[in-house]
Formats: sequence, C-alpha cells, structure tokens
Amino acid sequence: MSYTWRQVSAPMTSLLVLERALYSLGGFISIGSNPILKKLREAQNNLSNPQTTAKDRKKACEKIIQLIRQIESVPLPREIKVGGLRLRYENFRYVMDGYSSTSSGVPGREKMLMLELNKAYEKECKKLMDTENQIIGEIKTIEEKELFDRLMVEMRKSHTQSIKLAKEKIFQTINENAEKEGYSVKRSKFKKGKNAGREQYIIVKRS
Amino acid sequence: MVEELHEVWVNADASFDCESHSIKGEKCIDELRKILAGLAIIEDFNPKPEFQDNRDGKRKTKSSKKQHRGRKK
Repeated sequence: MSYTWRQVSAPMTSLLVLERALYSLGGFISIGSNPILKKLREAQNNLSNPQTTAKDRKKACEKIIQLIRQIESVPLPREIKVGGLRLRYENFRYVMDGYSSTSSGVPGREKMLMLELNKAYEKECKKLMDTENQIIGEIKTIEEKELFDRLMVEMRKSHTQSIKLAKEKIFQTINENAEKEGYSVKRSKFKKGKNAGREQYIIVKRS
Repeated sequence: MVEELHEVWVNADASFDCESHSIKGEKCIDELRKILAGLAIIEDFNPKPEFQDNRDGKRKTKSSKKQHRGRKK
C-alpha cells in the first residue's frame, strides 16, 4: 500500500499575518507581552478608524511600515493564549499539549479553536496577497493611495519572505531526516508553468 | 534498484503534497512521518491500492502470454 497525503492548511510563518488572524478571531486572544505586536495593532487600529485625521493616518501607515521591517527578524511566539487555552508553536502550527497525528488527546473545543485559528490565518493570507483587495481602509487622497500601496508592498514582501525562510528550514530538515533514514534527496524548484512557485523533493532509498 | 520512493511537493505557501511510489505495506506512511518529522503532523492520508493491483496485473499479463505461446507450439 502506498499513499497520497495533502496538508489541509497552510503553515503559519508570518508574525504579521498571525497578528491579523488572532485579531480577526476576537478580543479573547493573548499573545503575551510582545511590544512590537501591540504597537502594530495600535497603528492598524488608527489606520482603519474612520475618525482618524489624514495626518494621523499617514503617521500610522509609516509606523506600520517601520514595524513590519522589525518583525521580519522576530520569530513567531512559542506560546499564545486563545480563549484561556495555551497553544504552543510546533511544526509551523499552534497546537494544544497532547496533540498528535491521531489527535485523540485533544478535546473537541480545543481542536475547534486550533482549526479556527488555522482558517483565520489562511483567510488573512489570501486577503493580504489578493491585489484587488484593500485591507487597510478607505483611501481619501492620491498621497494616501501611494502610501497605502507602499504599505501593501511591504506587507506582502514580509509575508513572502517568511515563506521563503520556512522553505529553507523545510529543505534543511528534510535533508537531515532523510539522511538519518538512509534516503537520498533531489530538490527541484519550479519558476514557470503549472508548478510555478512549488518545490519538488524526490526522496529515494535504493537497495 | 529503487526500493522506496517518496515524492514530496512543497507548495507556494509552504504546505505539503506527498505521494509514495513502490512501497509495500503500512510502513510507507511511517516513513513519511520520519521524513517530515519537525515539519508537519500527518493526519488523514489516502492509501493507494494500485500498487497491489499493478502487481496482480503484471502477473496476469505474463501468465496470458505464456499460455498464448503454449497454444502456438
């Protein structure tokens, strides 16, 4: 018996997207005392508040760009609290203690929270990468449009960079694991065609 | 001779699509778990029955050819 297996949800790699996902789930999330994330949320709230003046919106926008650059070197928190439950970062996901491939150790409510967070993260990824979508509020002037465009470019760049770093970790880990198990690995990157942006690993053990 | 072959695709968003070839028995998914240790938790997977089927198919083909030759003689 051979297998096919598809990972259901995208891995969590970006602190920026995670912050947006957690915020979208509501006010019952605690991401600890991470000062950058708090400042980022304040600035995003200022930007999306319709009562903020044009001058303050510009300031908020520039603040977010500055924070995004700082976030790039910050890893995702090892633990977060969702609805009073502690989730830890493992295998590019936030999971409960006792979570395994069979998931038998995780009660229904906790598993639902994990799934909700995964869904929210994916939704925020799509929103961020959708060039038709405006996620940072109403644009009032041409100057604002230019600034917002710059902000969107920075946000997308930050997200793409986090995926690039994750892929490098994947490459290293697969190589190490495969070598340990006696496999040889061939990696191919695709830039064009139907597999553009994907990487293929052929992992072989010969007798 | 290839004993075991795993084809692992890393998608644009860094999620995985995996498939094994030429591996017999339950150990194929355990082997994938070892290869992706520290990267992903493998939950539901789809077993591919065709490995066994192909083997049966090849046997049948060989068998029918032998019979055909036998008739000619």
